[in-house]
Amino acid sequence: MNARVILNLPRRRRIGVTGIVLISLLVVMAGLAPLGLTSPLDQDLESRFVKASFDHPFGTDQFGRDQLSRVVHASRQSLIVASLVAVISGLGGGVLGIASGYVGGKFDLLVQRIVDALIALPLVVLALVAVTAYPNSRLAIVIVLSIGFAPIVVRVTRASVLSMRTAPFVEAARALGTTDLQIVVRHIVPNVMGPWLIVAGTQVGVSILAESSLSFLGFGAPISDPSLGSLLGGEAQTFLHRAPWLIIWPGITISLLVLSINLLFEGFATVPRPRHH
Amino acid sequence: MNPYLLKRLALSAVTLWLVTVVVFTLVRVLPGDAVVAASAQSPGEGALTRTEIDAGRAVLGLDRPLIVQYGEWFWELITLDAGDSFVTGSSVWSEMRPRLSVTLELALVALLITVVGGTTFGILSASMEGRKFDVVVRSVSLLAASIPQFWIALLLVVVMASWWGYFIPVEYRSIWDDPARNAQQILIPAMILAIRPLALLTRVMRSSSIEVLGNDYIRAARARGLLNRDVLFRHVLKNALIPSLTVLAAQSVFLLGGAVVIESVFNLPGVGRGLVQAISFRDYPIIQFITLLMGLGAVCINLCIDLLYGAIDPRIKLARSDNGS
Repeated sequence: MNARVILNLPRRRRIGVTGIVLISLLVVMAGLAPLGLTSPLDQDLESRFVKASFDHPFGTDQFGRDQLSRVVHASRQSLIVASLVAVISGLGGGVLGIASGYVGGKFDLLVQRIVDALIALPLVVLALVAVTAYPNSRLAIVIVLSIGFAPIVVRVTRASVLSMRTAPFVEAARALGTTDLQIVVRHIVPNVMGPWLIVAGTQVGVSILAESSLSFLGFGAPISDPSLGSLLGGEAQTFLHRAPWLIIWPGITISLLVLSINLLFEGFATVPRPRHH
Repeated sequence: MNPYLLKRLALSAVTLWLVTVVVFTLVRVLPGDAVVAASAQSPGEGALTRTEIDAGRAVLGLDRPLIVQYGEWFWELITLDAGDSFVTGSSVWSEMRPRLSVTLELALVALLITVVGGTTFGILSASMEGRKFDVVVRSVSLLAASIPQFWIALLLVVVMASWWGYFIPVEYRSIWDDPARNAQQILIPAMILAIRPLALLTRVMRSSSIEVLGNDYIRAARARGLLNRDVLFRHVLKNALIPSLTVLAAQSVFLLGGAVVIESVFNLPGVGRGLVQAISFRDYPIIQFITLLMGLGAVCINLCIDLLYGAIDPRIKLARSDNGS
């Protein structure tokens, strides 16, 4: 670490803290959603297409549904999907990456080719094709996005295991007769945690974007339980020019969610770049 | 031929073959097929009976074992025949060729914007580290990487229409038929498509340029009296590009995926929009072809960038021929 990086720390920390505060606010807002707000599905045909007012701060849509309530509920759905994807692809990719790097040989070769093939397909395309089997199922989206994100996690963890496999402390442990399992649990895993945490964490932001793209295209969240992307797609596009306020808040919310996560990692971590082989 | 190149080519071929397996499995695992989708799409005639569905499947060859269907598809691919569309009955290739040029144009323009903009902003920002320009570039790029592209597209459409009364012409014309109209239809989508890759490339380029700028040979070049411009765009550019190439490879794949969404927003008749339509009709040959095409594009991009490393940095080439990997 050079002097410049250290000098930058206080400013970077400030950025990171901003991220934490922002994401906490958004999570609390999404979590407390059901209290005090009308249901996002309550229709009021008397007040369709209302612009921002005291009763409806974000206005209403073509069925007179309260847009504020819809945005808050939708951001909860987006957050749940993104966190699940980060956890599943993080754990799955992490285990596979460690195994691939530590075991090596044919197993490693096989895993890496599958990773290559999965990375070769754009995530949205992969997800689009797979989600068609179960359109508008939240579980399907979580599974598909997890499979899509896992390869990156595999690459990063594998690369850091490889750099450690012949490190003196691992060789020493092996010479002392430590079993492979113990070496992995006691020596490899703690040292892989850093890059792993960063790559898995940054996936939260990227999967919010990916999920919203899918829902925007109409293949994502169920209509009865929309996510932020679905609020922007479908009918909102039909009434784009008549009710432009409908697309403002969902978009701002997605951006804020992703931005807060990016700020967090900008402030506290250097994103590792997997070495190209 | 050099052994490294051979090995890379072989690995790319294996990856590509695995992509065909992944694509085929993915597409055929979907419940419901073209026959069921077609019957659902024509509600007036009522649902097809069991026997009618079976007959329809037999016509399309969907009743045979999956491995036979895969073998046939794979053989057709090798003989460069992608089969016929289940919906229109014409050959996949003739359906896709006009679409391909739309997406290619869109992606290439976006890639050009990304590369030129990303390297320039990255280097300039690094050379003015900590100053106003740098702070602005960093903040804007962080923000740009967080905003969903399709949302920017929607906002832009609304703003252009309500403030300036401008609408992007609807019916697509190719660049050869009507260049002015084509430019209106391609430029804005391409710029929006480039936003996220541009932001990410700028960030990586900036941090690797800062690293390069700290080296002794840069100080030596300055001491020799070289202009700042020459230092930046001769010495720094080449060295800072190497770590940025990995990001560029990943972002090129992202461009292909992003094209699916952007084409849908702007109603461009490209491959991406074709994919979305084919999926709702369960048109397997088209879905398989487009997905594979995107995979092929990505594998080629990765191969090119891998070979570029060696061209840009002779040290990498040396290291590779030493240990033979």
